[in-house]
Amino acid sequence: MDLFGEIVEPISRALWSDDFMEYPENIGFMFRTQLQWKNDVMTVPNRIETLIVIETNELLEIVEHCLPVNKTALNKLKEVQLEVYDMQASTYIVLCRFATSTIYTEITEVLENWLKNSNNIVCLTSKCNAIYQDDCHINEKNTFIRHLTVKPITNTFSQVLKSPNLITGLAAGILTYSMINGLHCTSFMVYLEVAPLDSINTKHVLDLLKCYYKGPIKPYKLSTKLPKNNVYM
Amino acid sequence: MSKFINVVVPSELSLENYTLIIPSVSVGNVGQLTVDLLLASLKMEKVAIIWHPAIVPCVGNNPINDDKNEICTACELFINKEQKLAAIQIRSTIEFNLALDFLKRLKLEILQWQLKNVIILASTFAYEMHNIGHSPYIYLTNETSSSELLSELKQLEADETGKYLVYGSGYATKLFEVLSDQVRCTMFVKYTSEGDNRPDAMQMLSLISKYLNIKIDNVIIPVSWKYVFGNPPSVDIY
Repeated sequence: MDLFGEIVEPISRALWSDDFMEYPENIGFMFRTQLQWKNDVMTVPNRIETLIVIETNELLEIVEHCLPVNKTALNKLKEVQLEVYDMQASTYIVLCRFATSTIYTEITEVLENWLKNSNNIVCLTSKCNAIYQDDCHINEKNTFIRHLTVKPITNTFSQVLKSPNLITGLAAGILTYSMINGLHCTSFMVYLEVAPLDSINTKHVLDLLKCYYKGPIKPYKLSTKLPKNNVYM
Repeated sequence: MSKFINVVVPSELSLENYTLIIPSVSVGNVGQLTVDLLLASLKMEKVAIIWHPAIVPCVGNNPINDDKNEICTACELFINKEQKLAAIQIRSTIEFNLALDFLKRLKLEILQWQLKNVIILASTFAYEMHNIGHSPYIYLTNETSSSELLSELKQLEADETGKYLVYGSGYATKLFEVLSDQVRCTMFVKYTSEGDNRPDAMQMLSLISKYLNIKIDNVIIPVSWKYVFGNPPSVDIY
């Protein structure tokens, strides 16, 4: 009975090693040097009134349709498809088209001078509304917005994000960096329904953008598009 | 701040003779859940945000108290002055390529704090527990003084290459290896499986409160656990 519960491993069993045992010494710093501005001699404007950082495909699509960002970018980080646009009136927009979770902190550090010269930093990111956790949000609209901010803000478009919901990505990196460095930053999480973007479910996002960008904003119109994958082709 | 760990501990705060608890991101997140219980039950105070490129960023509202709007970040340092206890909570993951740099820089910070000792909390796969008669915990320590509690647990043994191998325990053994030449350090690992790991965290809390002789009058469940597994199953089904 002493051996009850013992597992005697057959000698033929293949042993596997834990990938996490040998951490690489210097790979990280080799990787970091790849994040380079396309125009690395460009000086960051001394005074930025509002810096708007936007990520996720859905929000980028809204911005590209409704805001005049089709002109040439001021600067680019090619590796993560990040572009900075001058939107006039001391307002700048950063569009981050591609990144993986492992380098958001690095992108934040590369944006350091832009962040430090900004009076007001606004980050927008999005998730599917089905993953929002709350006691009851049956009465919520299809699209709703939550935020976390260093200093309290007043707007009627969003409420404070409640635990256990989280903001991740570049919006999280920039908000953390702002807290450490005493910068004024608000990160908005747009909870979108899983449906094609149309004039109704994009309205809240555009209303929110109007608070921070005073230039022209066109309404979003639903258009017929081919799917981006070939699943049904 | 670039490339370096940034832990802004207020200059007037001394962590001398404190015990620091660090969870390792491992199977079932038992270490992190245990630290959550400690933060809530001992009403520990946040004193620093830890920034390093290895830490995958995330932010949320106060995970301990719903009534208090306060942003929590991916890695933070908390203290309880009465119990002389400090804890680092990690709410995301550590980037593999930068992990070693993070651990080494964390050690430099820890050495400055002149702590009494460090406790690492981790978990490993339940199927690695080959003898059901064993305690569900294993430990590793460089402390010279004997503890009655440790005598009841199984000590982790090095493999034939002299390395400590605990599957699924994340960076726990590496952190022990990095710290143990200059810091008094003990690692507790609990056998567990992925699933509802709240009971594991309760048990781990009980273990470390005995080991550190911490008095916890009332275990408080953090609000961030509210929706983790829904309600318990109906008693009608049994």
